[in-house]
Amino acid sequence: MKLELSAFILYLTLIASAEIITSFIDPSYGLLLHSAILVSLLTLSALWHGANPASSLYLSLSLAPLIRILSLSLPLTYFPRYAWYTVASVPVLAAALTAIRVQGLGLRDVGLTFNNLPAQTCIALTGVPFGVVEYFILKPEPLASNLPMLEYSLLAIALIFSTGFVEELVFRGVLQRSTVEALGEKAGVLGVTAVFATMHIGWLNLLDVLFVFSIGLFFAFMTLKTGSIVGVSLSHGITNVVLFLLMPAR
Amino acid sequence: MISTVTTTVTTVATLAMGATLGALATLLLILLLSAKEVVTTDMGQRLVAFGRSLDVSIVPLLIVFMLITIFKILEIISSIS
Repeated sequence: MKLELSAFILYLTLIASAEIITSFIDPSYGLLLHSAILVSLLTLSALWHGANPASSLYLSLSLAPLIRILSLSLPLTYFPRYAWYTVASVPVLAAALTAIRVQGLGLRDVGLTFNNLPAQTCIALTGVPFGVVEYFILKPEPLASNLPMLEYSLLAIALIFSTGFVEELVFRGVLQRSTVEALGEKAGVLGVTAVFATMHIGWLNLLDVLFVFSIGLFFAFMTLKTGSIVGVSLSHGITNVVLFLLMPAR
Repeated sequence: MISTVTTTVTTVATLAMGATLGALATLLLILLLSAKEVVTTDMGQRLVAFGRSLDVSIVPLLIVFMLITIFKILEIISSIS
């Protein structure tokens, strides 16, 4: 376990470096470093094959550099801004589903279960204050304006699915499961949350990275306690709806 | 130069930079597909596992490649007509 923890910290540092290079120096160099990290994680996963959960840990962790490679290379500029989330979520969802299939996991294993619905509802509602606080940190441009009510609602649903469900499936469903299994609860939860916060370096806002880290800890803890990602997915999605649609339109 | 909109959405400011990143991702896809081709000829347990884990990257990168190709073709068609 000590070796796995050291390897995890090394890869976390490498991913953070690749994110910093992508955001502050040159996205091409960042993409190259992310690609190298991805290939080495996949190789490590194969080398540790049979010694689960280490193999699953490296395979799941490869989703982090892969997300950035996909998001950088997608031709998003051809799409209207409000469609970016849905378009970007398609390859990420495909990667998550392939990782689930390769690891031989079931839906329940990755938290796709509706147990303890009252608790899930309460967790989902935390998205509202999270979104308000993050809006005051980032003050983003409105995602869309002057849309009819129906289209506005469809956009909100798309945002909940593509940012909430898909990202939570990757981070809390697939990655947290294998990290906790390999490193234990405390290190696993902290590790996944650190990876999640690292992926927000691109906002170039340290306060937001810290805020995302706290939210990530909350999501990770709730997933661990309830065994489901439904509540945290809704909360994550609602956070983004409030952040990108409701608050900027005030 | 870039802007992150959420964890999974990052956009680059210029089309030229977008093309470079698309080309790099395509090169990575070619590398992964070649590795998959090589390892699937071997029956070793670890290589089979490596081949399977490569799918995690190959499948989404194929989707990205498909989108890049479709938009390039549409761009060429619209420049001709």
